[in-house]
Amino acid sequence: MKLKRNDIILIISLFIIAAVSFFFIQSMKKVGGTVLVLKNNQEIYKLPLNGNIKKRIEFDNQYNQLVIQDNKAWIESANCSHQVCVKHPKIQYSGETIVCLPHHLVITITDGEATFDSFSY
Amino acid sequence: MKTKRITFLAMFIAISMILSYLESLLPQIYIVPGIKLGLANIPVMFAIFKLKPSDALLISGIRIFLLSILFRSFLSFIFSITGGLISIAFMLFFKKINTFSIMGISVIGGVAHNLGQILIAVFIVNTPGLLFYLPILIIAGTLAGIAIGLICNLLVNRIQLPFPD
Repeated sequence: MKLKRNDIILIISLFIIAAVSFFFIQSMKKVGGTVLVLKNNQEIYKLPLNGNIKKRIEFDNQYNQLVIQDNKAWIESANCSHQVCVKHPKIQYSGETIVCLPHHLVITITDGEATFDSFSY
Repeated sequence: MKTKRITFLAMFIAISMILSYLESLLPQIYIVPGIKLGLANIPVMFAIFKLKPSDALLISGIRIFLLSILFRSFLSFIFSITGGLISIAFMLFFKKINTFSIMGISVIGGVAHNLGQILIAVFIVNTPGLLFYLPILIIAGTLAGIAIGLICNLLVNRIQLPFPD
């Protein structure tokens, strides 16, 4: 097959862009303190990342089982159609997010401490 | 629309639907959401190079519409159609300015598809944190684009259409 020189330049520059943005994002990462749970863009729970928590988030027979342990958060099980949220790797850095699109649910890590008596826990 | 063209398009749409199904049988690489090979892009790219731009749009649009009403949800329709349309728009533009070969255009299509999907995801769930996936999705789009580009290059060079209109 014949490649144009531009093709090679394109592929190499895409790899460079990806690598640069990867290292940029890595350098920005720091371990967060709070796990925010949002449903339909409304904050519904605010939990400490250093806690040891299992929480069943359930609305209208749609559930996601959230686990927080060892400063990491993940979805253990859910009854959504894709299971993307369950397969998602554990999150711990500020800004990292697990999204369950079918349930309009977002689990995201933010800075700062949440205490156990913060609202709705 | 000529009968010939309708038949051709129907055949291409059928092929791309089957390719979508075949792809769902492949083992998924799960690093971040949205990584896929994009086999269904093969007929679309073939149409871009051998048929008309409007054919490419029709093949991709009707395939996504049919798959969505048959098997998927409205949300996945929004995601697929955004990725598909953005990717075709980019491929048609770069085909027009004639800077890249089939391989380059395929890579552009793959990366544009992933960028389009991540942007619509950030918009829908209002979570800029999803941009963390960007580097991996660029790499995945590039690699998938190279693979699909190799296949399309073979097809475009070898298949002679009996009915050029």
